[in-house]
Amino acid sequence: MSRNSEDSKPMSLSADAALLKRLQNGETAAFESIFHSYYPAIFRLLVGLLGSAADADDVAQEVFLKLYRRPLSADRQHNLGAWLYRVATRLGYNALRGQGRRHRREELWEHRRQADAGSGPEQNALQAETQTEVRQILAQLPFKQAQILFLRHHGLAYKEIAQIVGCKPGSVGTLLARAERAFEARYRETLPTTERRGDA
Amino acid sequence: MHKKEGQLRAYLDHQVPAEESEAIEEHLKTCETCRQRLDTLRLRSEAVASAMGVLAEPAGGMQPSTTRAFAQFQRRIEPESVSRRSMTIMWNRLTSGRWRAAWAAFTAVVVLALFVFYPPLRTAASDFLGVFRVRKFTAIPVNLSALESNPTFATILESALSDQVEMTQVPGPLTSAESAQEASTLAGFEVRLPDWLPETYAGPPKMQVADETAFRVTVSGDYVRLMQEALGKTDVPVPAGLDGAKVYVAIPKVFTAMYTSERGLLLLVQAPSPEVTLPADLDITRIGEFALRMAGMSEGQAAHMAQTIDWASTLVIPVPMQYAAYTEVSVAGADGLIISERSERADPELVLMFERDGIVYGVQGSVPSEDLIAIAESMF
Repeated sequence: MSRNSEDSKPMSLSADAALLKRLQNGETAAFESIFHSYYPAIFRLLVGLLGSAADADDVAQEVFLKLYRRPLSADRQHNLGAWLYRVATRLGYNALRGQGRRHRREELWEHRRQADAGSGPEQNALQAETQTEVRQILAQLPFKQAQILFLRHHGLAYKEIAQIVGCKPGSVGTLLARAERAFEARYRETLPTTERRGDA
Repeated sequence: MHKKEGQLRAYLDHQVPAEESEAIEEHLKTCETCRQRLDTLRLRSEAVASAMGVLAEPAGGMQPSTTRAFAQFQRRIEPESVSRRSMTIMWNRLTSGRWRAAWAAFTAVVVLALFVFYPPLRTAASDFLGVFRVRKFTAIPVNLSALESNPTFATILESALSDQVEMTQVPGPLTSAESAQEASTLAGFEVRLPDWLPETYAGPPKMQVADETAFRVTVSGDYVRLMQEALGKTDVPVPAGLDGAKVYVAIPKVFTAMYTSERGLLLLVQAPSPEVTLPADLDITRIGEFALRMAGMSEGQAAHMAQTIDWASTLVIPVPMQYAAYTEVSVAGADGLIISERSERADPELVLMFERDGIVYGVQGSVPSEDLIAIAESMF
């Protein structure tokens, strides 16, 4: 795995390697520096996936906890950014599945109630309902498919996605097309709700 | 030949190299099938993008405060770092400063051996589990040159520690005590101070009691194999039941007393034996034999030694021979072990360890071994 210099990530690979080395030596400052460089990006990724700042923060903390407990090895040419995105999407996906189980009924009920009572702008309530549905679909997809859809939607280039999911850049198109097909199939299953909404 | 679906999908996203993009365009001019496939892919990707679009930036622009997040993170790891410190405090002191090199090598073996070298004294605690307590110390010489020349070993070790060891009881900070009585009350056992000290050391000592700690080790076969590779001992078969075995270690309250002088520290450590709980179906002799072979013994030596050691009551201490030497001694009627630093210096560090009446004692300092024994005996 390597990065080129025009990469927009906060740090170059060699800078990461130096930081990782210092992290392994137990330097607190190195960890803090990594945290400050990557936390905002990881948080934004997760807030999009989970839709809640509190949940995103919880999961982002878990991601850095993993790094803290098990520093990567600098000499194995770890791509720190890719590693953080990989762990973040994995933990985010797990949280999404948990969230689905916990909140699905209450949320849908609450959104419908708001729409019925006209207590909030109807458009917002409907959009929230769609968001919940989209998250449910992602949670139902196999992790790799949900991950690649989400990363692409988040605006990452194929090369970056390949580093994160651990495949060849040339395979991203194939995996993405497959994931989109699976997503569409699931989405069609929820269509009755969508049509009803369209009629309203 | 038709274009692959993945190529077409990447082409839609402008994620193919320029020359490949041109080739695809040329092909599309003449291939109706691929044009249709591209259309299908485009429609689907647009539909998915539109659905995924609702997940875009939530209202209110949730910008995180990284400073606040880091402060929160630090609060979260605080108990962990305290426990890590407490767990290592005894070892670090026993092996402080000039012992660093030996300690690094020593740790390597201790981790591999944690579940074995801590053993002993089986009591019928439950139907499923055996509980072991330290009653005796035995040193075995180990050769760690294979590890030292292996740069990845430290990484494996660190990963193994963080993945396999889980704190189940996180101790609070160390508590200071003003007197032996206060320390005994805090520790829950009678602490002992020596009546005799070499002249250079002056009292009163600095006394502290560390809280109880407990952790669980889940042995991972993957790491055992990594260790084997690092040690160049992949030919030694891993004993049955080791992969996935759960080992519980409870460390009781630990009392430490520190005397200072211009010669350095004299440290006393006292604690009831750590309690180690192993799955009852684990064949401890076989695992001991395995660990001895990892520590560098030949097949025959290890088999013989494993049979000789009373794994039910002995804490086996691997001594890296290039850094340290050991002698078996008798202290106040108990069998003890002195490990001494191999050093050019006039005053090498020595550690004396022994067990008496259920309490494990350690005495460390830059003093001759006769003095170390005299200090220990004056405690009784």
